[in-house]
Amino acid sequence: MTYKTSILLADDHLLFISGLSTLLAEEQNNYDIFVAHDGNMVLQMVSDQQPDIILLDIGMPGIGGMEVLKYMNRVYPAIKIIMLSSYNDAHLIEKARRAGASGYLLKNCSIEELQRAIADVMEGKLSFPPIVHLPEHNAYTNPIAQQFNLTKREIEIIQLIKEELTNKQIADKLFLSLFTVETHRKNIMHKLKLNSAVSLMKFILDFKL
Amino acid sequence: MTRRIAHDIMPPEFEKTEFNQLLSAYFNRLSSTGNIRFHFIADEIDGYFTKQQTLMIYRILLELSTNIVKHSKATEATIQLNSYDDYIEIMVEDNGIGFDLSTCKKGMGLRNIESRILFFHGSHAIDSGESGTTIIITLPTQRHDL
Repeated sequence: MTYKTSILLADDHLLFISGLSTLLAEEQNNYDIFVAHDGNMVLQMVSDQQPDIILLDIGMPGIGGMEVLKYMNRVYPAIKIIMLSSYNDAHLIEKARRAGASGYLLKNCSIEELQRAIADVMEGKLSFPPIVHLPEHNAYTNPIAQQFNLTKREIEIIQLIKEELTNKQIADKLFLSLFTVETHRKNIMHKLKLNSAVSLMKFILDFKL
Repeated sequence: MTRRIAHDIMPPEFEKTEFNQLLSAYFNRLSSTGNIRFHFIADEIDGYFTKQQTLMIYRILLELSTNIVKHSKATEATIQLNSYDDYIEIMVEDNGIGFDLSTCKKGMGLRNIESRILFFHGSHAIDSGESGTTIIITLPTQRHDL
């Protein structure tokens, strides 16, 4: 008797999930299909049914897809999760990857692509879309900028703080208002989780900004 | 020609999708279909506002980015949502030609934005000059314990 891959489909779009479930349940596929409509149902069915794979919609209301993914990664790490989404968004894809997803599929993919993704993931491989364009803030090559979500303007202001310019001097140099510069400075401190000018200087020197 | 009362209509995807995901996708689309590169960096703001208020913030951002596309002649724009204890801050920057507030007539767009900010009892500052325009909007929050 051949092994049937047990798949839990989780999506709140009922028409979509019913169509997908019918397609996948066709005999030649060798899948056992279960369906959940929201995060709570997923958690319940996981403990009842022990699926091999979950096809998990990112955009479910209530306990969202990402929360379920994080929970599953922590509590049931052996269950593989492929995220489903309408958005080919590099930011989201990366977020899903980092949270432990084994794959990410767009809802406009073909049934063959879905089957291939399921097969790959069951073999222990990852199945993510090729990067179409870089996430916006990867345009800044500075890894510190990326890590702390600093903008180009904020990095520019940090350089000027390093040169010991006052806020007024920075404002004049960059053709900004004093209020704008003060706001940027406040945001920089907030993003770096610092609370004094001294700690900012130390950070700048430590990280060689 | 009648105009829709924009704030009464909630687009269907708004109910289902995480706010930041929606915005991220929107700015990616703008970047890939136009001449301006949009950068979007945001904290989570779900839970600090009602759904209706979040929709208004969404519309403020759409209005501001539309203004940039239409008027700024910018090549790059950065949109930020920074979340603080008592307020969230919206910062929209572009490297365009700027505008002279004293001579520029306020179009419907800017008036809509200002009335929405007023609704939040928030404040705003417009800094426009040679390096472009920076708009900083502060909206006080009311935390909803989830």
